[in-house]
Amino acid sequence: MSRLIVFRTLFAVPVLFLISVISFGMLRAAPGDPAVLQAGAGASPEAIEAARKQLRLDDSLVEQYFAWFAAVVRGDLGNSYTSGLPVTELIGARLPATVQLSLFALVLIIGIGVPLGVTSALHRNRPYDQLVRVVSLIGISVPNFVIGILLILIFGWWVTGVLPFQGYVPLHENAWENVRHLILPATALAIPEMGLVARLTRSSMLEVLGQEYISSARALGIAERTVIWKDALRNALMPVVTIVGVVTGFLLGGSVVVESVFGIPGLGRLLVESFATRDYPVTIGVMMFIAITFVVINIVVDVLYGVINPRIRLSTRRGAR
Amino acid sequence: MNGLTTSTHPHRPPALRVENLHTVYRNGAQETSVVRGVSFDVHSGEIVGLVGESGSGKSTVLKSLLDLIGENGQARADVLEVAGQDVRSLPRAEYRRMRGVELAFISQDPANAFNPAWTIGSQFRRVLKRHFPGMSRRELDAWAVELLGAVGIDGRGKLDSYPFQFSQGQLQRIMIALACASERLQVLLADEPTTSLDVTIEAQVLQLIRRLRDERGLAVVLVTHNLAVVAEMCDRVLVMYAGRIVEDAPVRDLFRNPQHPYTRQLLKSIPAFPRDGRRLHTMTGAVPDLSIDVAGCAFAPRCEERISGLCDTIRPVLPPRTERATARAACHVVSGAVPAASGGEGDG
Repeated sequence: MSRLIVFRTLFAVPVLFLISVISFGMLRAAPGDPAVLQAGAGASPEAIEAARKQLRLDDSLVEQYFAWFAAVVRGDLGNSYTSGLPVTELIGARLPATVQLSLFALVLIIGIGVPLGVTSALHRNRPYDQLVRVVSLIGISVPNFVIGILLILIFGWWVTGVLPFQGYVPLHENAWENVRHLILPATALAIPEMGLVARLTRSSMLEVLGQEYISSARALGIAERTVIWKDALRNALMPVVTIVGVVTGFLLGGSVVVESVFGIPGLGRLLVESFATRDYPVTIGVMMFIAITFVVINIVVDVLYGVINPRIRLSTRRGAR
Repeated sequence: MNGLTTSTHPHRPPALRVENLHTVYRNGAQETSVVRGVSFDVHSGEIVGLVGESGSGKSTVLKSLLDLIGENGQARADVLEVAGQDVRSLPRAEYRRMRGVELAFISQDPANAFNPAWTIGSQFRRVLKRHFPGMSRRELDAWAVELLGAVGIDGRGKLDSYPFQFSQGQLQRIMIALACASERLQVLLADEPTTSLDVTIEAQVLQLIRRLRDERGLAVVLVTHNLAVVAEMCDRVLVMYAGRIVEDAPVRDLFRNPQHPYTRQLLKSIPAFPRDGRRLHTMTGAVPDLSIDVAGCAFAPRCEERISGLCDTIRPVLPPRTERATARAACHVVSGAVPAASGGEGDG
């Protein structure tokens, strides 16, 4: 198991390096000059030139990249062009909202999506199953920001005063309000993924229920409830874990649109704001943070595979295959 | 002691008694009648073979007895007695609790019969816990090792291994140990238990089943399409065709003097060893479509001896069992019926 983690971590290094090169290059290729934005509207050419010097934008791209890279290796993501604050500090300030929102959405996705999928499989082709399939298909098809806007419409116009539909209250200030403010955005984020997870769980569950070992467990007299929720579900969760891993990556990367719609100061909004002002260090800092999050989650998913499927765990322990 | 057990025990109730079992699968509006009125009984210490081509309904009979047919299937019987108990009067959940206790099942695919996610030990523990509720984990493990030893597998230190770490033959023996862990076991249903095994391993597994029958007096139903296995193992044979039993015979009678034309053709299809130089018999035609119920004998279209005007209009019935265990066949030719405009049921 630890061998697997070490191997995957080493493998992640070139991946992250490539991502950094590509995003650095693409960012600089995008139109817009931070020096102009930095010097302010209507600034004199001299002021713009000074700003460019100060931001070291005159250096070649390669030089700029390696200067950035050398700092990153020392744990320094640089300072924001606009606020002058360290990028790490900015990310740290925005992270709690995004993490909380992601976890909340994740709980909804797994806590509702998986049971829906299982019960749907158990009622295959009966009205309940058909209802779940249609509803989850609708959930998948509607983008989360549309659901967000619909929720705002419902709770901000029709049934006002029940749930807050804008803004964010930090956990340490008021835990109750914090949770209340997250309900709607988390729901908006969760619904499409919930539908995906429900459908995936359903089909995976149906496949597993047709397996010989399920009949065999029943023939051994194992209680039906155990057969379904233990024998079948554990094996059916393999593909679900993969999808939940990918979803978690997206969630932790900050949902740009949902955070904007609900006015939540999270990573996604930081990314958008920094790009609007061509605040290169912040943009690339957030991008690298998201990349690292994805890599880590993929390693976690691989480890979880091993936990669920002993075959994978044992074959990596032996170092074979 | 193969062959000594006779098939009728007038003073003891059979360990398994089935009367008029019907199993129907529904697929939309289409109904497929897979088992069409199967009746048989199996006594303690008896191995009854259930043979027939693929699609004859032999596996479905076992699945029906175990209440394992899926939600699109339905099984009903006039009588279903396990261990002398009429299980039709029991609530379904109660009957399901008898599985693994009074009656056990061995499948044809040992590699997929175990949950791949759990160790062999944990799969033993949860079954043994049902049979011996008071046992500690250590006692359960010790008992599992004991049971594994009885099927020729040294289980010490192997309880933490996963199913994929064993060979097919080992897994089948482990499954037998697991299925027969209940001390109250009376009926063992085996669905082609050696199909996926190579011949030397097959012999081991068959020997094991026979030993269980001898030592514990189990009533065994052995589904197979391998007639060599039948000859080796069974006391009595039921030949199935298109969802019905067409012949019921003691194993010696079946091979020496097969009654039903279908059985005769089946036996002719076994390759001779050593080679006799003759061309192997091939049965013409295929198993009939089970969604249609024909009026006459289901085998008539493939039968070389059919009496036209009779076999294709009136269904032959399996004669009732008599005190003497002799062969009987559901066939007009065997019962000596003659074609007639208004032929009787032909079961004389």
